[in-house]
Parts: sequence; C-alpha cells; structure tokens
Amino acid sequence: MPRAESLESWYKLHAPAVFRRARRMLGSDVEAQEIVQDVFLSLHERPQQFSGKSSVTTFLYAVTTHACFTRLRNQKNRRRLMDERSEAETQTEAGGPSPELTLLARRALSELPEDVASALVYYALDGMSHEEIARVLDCSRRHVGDLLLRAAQFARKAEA
Amino acid sequence: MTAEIARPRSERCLSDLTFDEWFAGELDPERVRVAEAHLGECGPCRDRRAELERERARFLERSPALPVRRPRRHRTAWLGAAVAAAAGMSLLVSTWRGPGGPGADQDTPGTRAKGPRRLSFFVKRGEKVTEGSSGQQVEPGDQLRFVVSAARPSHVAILSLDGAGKASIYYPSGLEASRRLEAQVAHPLEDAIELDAVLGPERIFGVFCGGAFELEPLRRKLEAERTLVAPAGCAVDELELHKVKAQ
Ligand SMILES: [Zn+2]
Repeated sequence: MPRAESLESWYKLHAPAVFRRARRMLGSDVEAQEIVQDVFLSLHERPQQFSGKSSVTTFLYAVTTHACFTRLRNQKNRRRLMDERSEAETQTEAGGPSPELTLLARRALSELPEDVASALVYYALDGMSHEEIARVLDCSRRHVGDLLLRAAQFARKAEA
Repeated sequence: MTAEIARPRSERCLSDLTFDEWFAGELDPERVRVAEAHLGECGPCRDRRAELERERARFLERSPALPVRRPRRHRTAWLGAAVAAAAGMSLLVSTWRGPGGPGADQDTPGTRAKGPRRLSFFVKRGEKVTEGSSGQQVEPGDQLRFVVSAARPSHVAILSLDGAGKASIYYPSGLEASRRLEAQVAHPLEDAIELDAVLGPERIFGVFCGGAFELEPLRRKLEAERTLVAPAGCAVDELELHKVKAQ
C-alpha cells in the first residue's frame, strides 16, 4: 500500500514514464499531464489498486494504457485529439517509434478492442517482447500472439 | 508472427519497459547484467537509454512534485442555470459596485485588487447550489465553482492555501500557465472543485494579469510566504473560507 511518502517517491521514479507514454498515445502535453495527475491521485485515493503482484512499473504501464484508451474512446476527446496535428506526430524520439507507428497505435486505441489495441501499443510503441506483453496484460504468450495477429490485420487494412 | 508491424528497434533490443524498470531499480542483478551487456554492443539501445534519461530529467524539472493536494475536478454543467440567474441579479450588482463601474477596473501594478470584485463563487452541497461569499463556512465534499469578471482580457489563475498550509492550483486545471480569458462579466469557469478533508481557514486567491504567467512558481511562493502579493502588472483578489466538519 503506497503511503504518502512512498507515493511521493513513486512519482519521482515513475511519473516520467507515465507522462512519456501518455503523451505519445494522446499526442498532447496537456492531456498527458492530466493522465499523470489522474493516475497518481487515484493511487493516492485508492492505494489498494496496486496488489503488489507485478512490479510497480508494469502496473503503471497497464493503468496508463487503460487511461489513454478510455480518454480516446470519449467521442469528444477523440475527435479533438485525432484532429490536432500534435507534436508527437511530427517529432521523432531517438530510438523511439516512428510517427507512422505512433499514429497507427492511436487509431488502434480509438477503434479496436482494448486488449488488441493495448498489445499493439506495447509491441509497436514500447518495443516490448511477447513475454513482457504477457506480463503486463496478465495473460499467456500464446494469447499475446493472437492479439498481435489481429493488430497486424488492422495495420494492413489501415495501410491499404 | 507480427512481421507486418514494425517496431522501434530489433527483436533482441531492450524495450522501453525494461529501461523503465531499470530506472526504477526493479531489475534483478542478472537482468541488469544482461541489459548492460546488450548496451555494450548496441548503439540504438545506448541512444534510446540516453534519450529516455533526458526525457525523465526534463519532465522532473518541469513537474517536480506530485500534486496530491489538487482536488478532484468535476466537469459538469451544474450551476449553468443557477449562475445565469444569479449573474443577472445579485452577482452583477454586488460585484460591479466599484467606483465608476467596470470601466474603472485599472490594475495598479503590484497591488491588491481594489474596487470591483473579480472573483466570486458558488457552492454546491448535495443538490443545493448557493452563492458563496468571503468568510463563509464550507464543508469537505462541497463543490465550488468560481466566477470571474474582468473589464478587459486577462490572464487568470486561482490558487488556494488550505488550513494545513498547502498551496494548490484550482484553475486552470492541467496547464502549466495561466489561462487567457476575454473581458466578461460574471463568467463561470468550466470546472468545479471538490473540497478535500483538510479543515480550517482556506484562502483563495484570484490572480489577474496583463500577460501569461507560470503557475508552479506562484504556487510555491504562496506556500512559502503564506500570502500572495500581486506580481507587477497583476491584481489579486482574495476570498476566505472556513472549512468545518460536516454537521
Ligand atoms: Zn539494442
């Protein structure tokens, strides 16, 4: 259970990653900042969310992806976020995903079922292995393979 | 098989997750050893690590602390009707009685707002919405909605200093700088603030400036000095609430 002071240290250790990932998924600094706030305030209010089963990092990866998914599913937000030519679309990070991949993942988040979209985000944006994805999604590696297959079909269609 | 989807680096490379776990001290010594060995032979992963470190530093420099005190916000339309009605009557009259009316709304650099009050608020408790006034009693869980008036376009922020001496930013939410608002009378701000459980006097400061200003330095200053002196070119309007235990 994160108490106030451990929450403070969690913030220092983990907030940069929450922000970076949310910014990439949503394409907006302001929205990403709000996700950081939401994630840590909700953890402050309901610390039992973190069961201690996984590492804090994997837990926050899942929480952040879900928060961005929810935000993009909100019609109004989606239209705004998808319409904006955001910094994340035009900026490339060294060794990070290409703008095309970032855009693809964002579309997946707003159109695909949550598990498929999340798998795509982990694979394409975070560069994670099947094993790592299985760990964050708390499922088998075989299931990750299935999810990524469906994500690939979506990517092919998006390309066409 | 997912050859159709490209990835940032090769299959054998370290993922962002691995780097983040590494930064957080969550990798066991064996995985650290493997990761270090990979870095030794992989330029793209060394670049990635450097980039992630830079991003971390940049983020923590801009947002160094957890905004735990920042209350939950409600993006709701409550008050729409109540504010509209009140703005037509009492609010307008009581807030614009300054000498010469709205036209006399001149900022004197570095002074507290005189004359017309620019900041007022409504309180929602349960289903009941009432117009608030400085000095009034509120309870944890009450929702406040602020209403601002400005005779010309202003950059606006609202900060609070609670009974425990903690300063927080009430408005604007999720931004690093003040928000520019057009000249208007009795404009209700979009978000409502839900008051937390800290009891005692809570002072609310509306800051109105000619130009944009950053929020976090101002919040820190308020917390350190326990009051807010208007920066040059700005006016500050102060309200005081007394937060007591719910009856
Ligand atoms: Zn590598």
